[in-house]
Amino acid sequence: MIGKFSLKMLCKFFTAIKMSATQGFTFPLNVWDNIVKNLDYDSWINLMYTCKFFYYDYGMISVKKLDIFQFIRKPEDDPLIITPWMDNLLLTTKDKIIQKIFVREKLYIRTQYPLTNILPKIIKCNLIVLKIDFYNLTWNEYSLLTEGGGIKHLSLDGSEIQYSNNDRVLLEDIMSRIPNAEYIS
Amino acid sequence: MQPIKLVSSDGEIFEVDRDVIKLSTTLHTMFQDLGIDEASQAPTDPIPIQNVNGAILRKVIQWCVYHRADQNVGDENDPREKRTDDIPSWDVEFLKIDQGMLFELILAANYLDIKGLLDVTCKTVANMIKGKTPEEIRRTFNIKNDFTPEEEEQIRRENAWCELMWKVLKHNSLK
Repeated sequence: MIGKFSLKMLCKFFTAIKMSATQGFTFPLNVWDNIVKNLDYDSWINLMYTCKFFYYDYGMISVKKLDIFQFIRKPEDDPLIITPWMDNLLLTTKDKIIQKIFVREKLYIRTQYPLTNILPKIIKCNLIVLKIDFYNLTWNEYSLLTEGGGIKHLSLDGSEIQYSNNDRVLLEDIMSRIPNAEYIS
Repeated sequence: MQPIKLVSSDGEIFEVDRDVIKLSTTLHTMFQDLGIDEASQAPTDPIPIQNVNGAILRKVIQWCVYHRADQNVGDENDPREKRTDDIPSWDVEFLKIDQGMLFELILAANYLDIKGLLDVTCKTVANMIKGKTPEEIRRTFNIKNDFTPEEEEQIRRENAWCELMWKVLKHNSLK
């Protein structure tokens, strides 16, 4: 317990050093993360344009359409190139990225393999289309993916949404997260 | 159960029930590490909260006392807990404070690791950012514009697809 606590404090310390090297920020990084999670896209853009830290170092990329599939990428044929602004990003379940991801419009999940490398990196979604094939989401994951409230197209093909105790989430709770949905399958 | 005494950075002493203290992961963990449980005698000396002054600690305790009985804090199986766009009405009233105090409250919630208070204060700050230009955000959070004119130009070129938005932003704030 003490070891974990100390490591957490150490990480905060080094982050604070890095941030304070160029700026006298009001908040430490983990607080900014919490604030950014609650921003809409336009507000994030405005925050990003305030200084170099948020533009270059904060490490969040904006992706219009994120497609997660299960085929193995051959780096020599199809290298993974990440830029701050991306219209399309194709990731496999094996890809490891260090950036945080803001998904702006569409998210397709087409894999049965765990998304432990990718889902924790998605810290913000303003989705219009969410399509999931044969992947079971937790309630927390579904809540994150639907948090923008703007989903118009939801497709769950062979997929379930479950609580951590494996109970299935009720349909009315699923629907409560997508009040603007026009097409559901 | 005896209350625990906390002393703020400016020497103000507060007596707080232990179930209120539990909302602070920092203090709860510290008590566990020290072997202090609910059956133990409360420490006679006040626990120093070095980074938090009396005015802020009073607000923190006020929030914790109101939320001490919350059943669903951190319960991932409760669908109501995961909304990010709403703040409970009591918290809205509670957070009608000046900006300086709000920022100090965030830092105190972070230091004491009180997740619920940190979440709700961060939502409030996010709402403050919404609708602000980059320059207004800089002023609010004391952020220095460290882009050189050349870098601004480079960013503009790299993000040609958002040219229109950039012009608006530049006109409004990146002078």
